[in-house]
Amino acid sequence: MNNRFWMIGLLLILAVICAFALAFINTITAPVIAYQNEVRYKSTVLDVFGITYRAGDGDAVIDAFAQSVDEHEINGMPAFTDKSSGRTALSLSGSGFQGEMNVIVSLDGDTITGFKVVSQVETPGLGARITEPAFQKSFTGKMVRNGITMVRSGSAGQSEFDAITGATETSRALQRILNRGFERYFAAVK
Amino acid sequence: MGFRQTREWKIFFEGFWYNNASFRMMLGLCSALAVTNNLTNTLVMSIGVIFVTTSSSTMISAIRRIIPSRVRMAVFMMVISTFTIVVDQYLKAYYPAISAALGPYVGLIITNCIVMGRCESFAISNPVVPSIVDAVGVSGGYAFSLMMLAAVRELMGFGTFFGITVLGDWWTPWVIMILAPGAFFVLGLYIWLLRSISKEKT
Repeated sequence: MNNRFWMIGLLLILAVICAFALAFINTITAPVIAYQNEVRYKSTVLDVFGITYRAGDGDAVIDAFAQSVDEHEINGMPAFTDKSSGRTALSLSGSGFQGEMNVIVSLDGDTITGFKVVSQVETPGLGARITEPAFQKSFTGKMVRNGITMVRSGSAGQSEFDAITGATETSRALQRILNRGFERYFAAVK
Repeated sequence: MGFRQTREWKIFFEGFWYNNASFRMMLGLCSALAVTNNLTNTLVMSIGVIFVTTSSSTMISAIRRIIPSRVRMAVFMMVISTFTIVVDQYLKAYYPAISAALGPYVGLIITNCIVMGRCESFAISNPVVPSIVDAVGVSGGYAFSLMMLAAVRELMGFGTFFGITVLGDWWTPWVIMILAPGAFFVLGLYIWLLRSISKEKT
């Protein structure tokens, strides 16, 4: 009988101790985590616009962002405007092959001027290669008024991009995410 | 008398080598397959596992006399998950890039059989100091075998070592090494190699 009370008692005490420990850790790390996410997001927007900032300095990123970028919404999508060039960037999200991915793409009229992946959980070495600089740069200059199509072999044309070898599903997901975003964007700004 | 004769060394080496988690006992293989395609991530993951195993074992060993045996699993789970969440939060806050690369696997340390295995088979029935030694030995052995796997997989899969390019353009990366099946092949080769060296009949 005694033992039964102690069983419940110990679990209860332990649960309270653990809960307090976790709450304590959370109060310390939550603001740091939120800050890191903000820095990553904002530095990606700055990269896409080609705005330079001091790398590795979170506060510098946030300052540069506040100075040169306007945040707003286009047709329900998070969007940004570069105050000096007047270009627009869109933040597009959707499901990739393994999970949620978020990319930022900047446009000058019909033409892509920058493309970068903010977050993704694709297969390392295959789908995750969408984060490689060479792949991200390959989008610059593409005309996307009527969407963008991936090509599996041969060289990519004006409104096409090269799919990643071994990551067809990731490339297809990216194509879907981009086209859905472009469609909504051009419907709104026409 | 050398340090090899001490009881602590024997406990440590038993866990680190003779009962090596991945190569001998075939434990903790899910994370061994998932995170070992890159040395940096593997190192962080290993440190996480060593930390969680050692702190949980210490904690369980310290309170072992007051844990009723019928609820010991529930107690293990609470202690282990608390320490795991601490590691996960810490990485998210201070090493966001590595945390993003490891994805859900840090949180999955909770389910690593090695952590609970040490609590159940050693810490619950031994004093604190031997429990610490045992936990460090077993999780250190696990870390060691993970690093051995990762070294081969990163080199052949990316042509790099800790992210530094070692093999030049002439090297065609083996995509299979980056995927989970590659870990099975490398693991199998290591087990073959180690058993042949030790000439052990199992």
